[in-house]
Amino acid sequence: MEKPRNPYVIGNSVGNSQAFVGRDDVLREVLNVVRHDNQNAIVLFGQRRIGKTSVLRELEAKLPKQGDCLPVFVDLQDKAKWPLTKLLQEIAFKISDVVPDGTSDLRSEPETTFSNVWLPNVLKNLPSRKSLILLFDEFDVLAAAPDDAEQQANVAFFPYLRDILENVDPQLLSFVFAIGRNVRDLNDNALSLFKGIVTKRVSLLEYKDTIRLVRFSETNNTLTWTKDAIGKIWQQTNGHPYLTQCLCNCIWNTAYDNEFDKLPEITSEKVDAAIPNALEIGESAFEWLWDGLGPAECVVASALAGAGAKPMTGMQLKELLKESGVQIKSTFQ
Amino acid sequence: MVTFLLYFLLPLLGFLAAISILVIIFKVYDYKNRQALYNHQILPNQLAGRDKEIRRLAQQQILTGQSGAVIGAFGNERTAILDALRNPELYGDDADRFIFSTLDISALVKECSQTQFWEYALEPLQEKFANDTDSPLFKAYESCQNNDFKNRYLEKLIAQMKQEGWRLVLMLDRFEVLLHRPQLKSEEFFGGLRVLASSHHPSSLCVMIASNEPVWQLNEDTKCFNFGSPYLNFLEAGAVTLGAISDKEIDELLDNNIGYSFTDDDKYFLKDVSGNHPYLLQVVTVILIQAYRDKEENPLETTRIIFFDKAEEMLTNIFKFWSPKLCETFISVAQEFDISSFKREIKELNRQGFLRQENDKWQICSSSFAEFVKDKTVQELCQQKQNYGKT
Repeated sequence: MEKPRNPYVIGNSVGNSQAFVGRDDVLREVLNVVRHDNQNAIVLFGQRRIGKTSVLRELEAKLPKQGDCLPVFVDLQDKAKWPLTKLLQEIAFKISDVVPDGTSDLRSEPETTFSNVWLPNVLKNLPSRKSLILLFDEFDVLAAAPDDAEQQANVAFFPYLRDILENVDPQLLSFVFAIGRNVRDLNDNALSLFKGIVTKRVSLLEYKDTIRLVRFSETNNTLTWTKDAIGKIWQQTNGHPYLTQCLCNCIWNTAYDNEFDKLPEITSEKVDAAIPNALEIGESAFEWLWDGLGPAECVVASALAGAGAKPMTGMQLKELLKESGVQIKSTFQ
Repeated sequence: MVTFLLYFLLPLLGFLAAISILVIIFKVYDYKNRQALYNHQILPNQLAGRDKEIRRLAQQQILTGQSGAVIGAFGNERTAILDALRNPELYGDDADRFIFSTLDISALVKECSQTQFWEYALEPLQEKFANDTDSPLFKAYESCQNNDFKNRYLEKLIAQMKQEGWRLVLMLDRFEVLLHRPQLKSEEFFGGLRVLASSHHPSSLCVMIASNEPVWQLNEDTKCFNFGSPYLNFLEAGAVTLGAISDKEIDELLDNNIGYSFTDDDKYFLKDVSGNHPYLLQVVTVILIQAYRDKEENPLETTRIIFFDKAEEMLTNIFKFWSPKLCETFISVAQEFDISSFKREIKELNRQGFLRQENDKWQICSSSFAEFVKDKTVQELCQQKQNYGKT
């Protein structure tokens, strides 16, 4: 017998699944770069838990259909302290998995071989009108890891990649870098790589996409939502994908914790009741988000939170900060 | 001299030996009896009061291809839940496509490598397809095996499983011990586990951990070798904490499952001593029934004394694995010290059913636990954890 299923996803990346919604602007921007004659790289940046990995996974699935691309997904989280040679070998393995008849042997001098021989060879032998696109997830771990050794990937990879970026044919190879902070907050080594590269913020979902996400449980016939309840979700999460999934997930769980005779209907009161639980579940994510903010961002966020849930103009915020003893420099104004 | 030996010393030694043997037999018998008493399940099983948690983990995590965690202080209870999650009835028609694998991390050798870990973890999968060696899945497994179970090959195996509609449910009991396995306490292992389990939805690798440390604490503990997203953030939303249950639920358990009629005083006593924690309720209920059967003059008092010994043993064991800060929080609440710097720990202990708030004041749920720690110092109780951390 088919068991009712919670359609909301919190832990997994949702790219290339039914749970992925919106992000048309990001996908469009990436396609523009991929198709551009002179550009071949884009940085996707966004706060923690905003869904960058999901966007990359969606690109991995969609690009072959829309852009004649062969995408290669590379997660760098576990590779920050690898030596450059090992990282290049890993990338070569990953590329050879998607390029037909590709070999992955970099022989005894991976650094020279990869950029001078192996990669040009792979690009030369790509099927006609196809291009390769490298999707790097958690790219900023390379900038965050301590510089223990000169040949460690986090030190040596940036200039190495810069060299490739500048010399490769953009028609044949493109790069997408996902990072969890603003480009300007990266160290000098990383900044030099991203100089002149297009950046695109991965931000909140649009209203229509948020509603579509909330209504997943209507699509799979497990919940019904009143208009007020949906409005409440939008009011609470403002289209933040993680928060929306988290809140809806709690509502769904509570509805299915209890026995019922008919399809549970979610009202705005039930949304209110689920908020403490959602905050508890999301607590670690909030901590993680908070840890990722700079000192100035923390001050502004605290001031806004202290003022309560109401819209505020820039001038009002300035006044509020002034009352708390914070002096604003002219750049902020 | 010979007469002395024959008629006095030898009989005396024989007598003493006989007495010693009798004492040993009695001790062993008594120990076994006590163990039998404590291990006896008077409630339907160790999962009494945990239906909701099991249903949530099975139907909302495993069935939807998401990972999760069982967090709680009592190892037996956590393990029992992992065992219960293997029941195919929980998954309807999908059960046939699930492969369950359970690893007790504490049973792995200290120098266990990533290769060995995955070899053990994938054993049920290997066995399932052992007769189908030409299948793409078995070949993907072989490829892993031939390449030391490196993450890249494991990714391919999981992708192949997804393509064929299989799901590996990997249960990792006593997960916190991984942090004491030097070769596994690495970005490669933890980062790999995260990518394998959370890169796609629904995932064909569901990781279900059981731990006495909450997921946020595990993330904290892995920060020293992590430069990116918290390794275990994919488990947070699917974590259930085995805490206290309501008075009503306790009444239902006692009224409907035991076949023994308790008075209101008995029930009040059981709730007070167990702090409404189902696992402790199980232990204390067994002792109380035995006290009635033994026709003790004051069964409640007898139970309190016996349970106190048991509580001492349990708490000492729990403190060994709690972080020093969690341990200090517990003692600070018991002794009414300042707890303003322990907000997160207070919340955690509340979730786990150790603390509750009454009239804006935090207190220890189980009166026996409160009694045990009331005169102890932090150094005295948290010492073992600190030592454990250093080794």
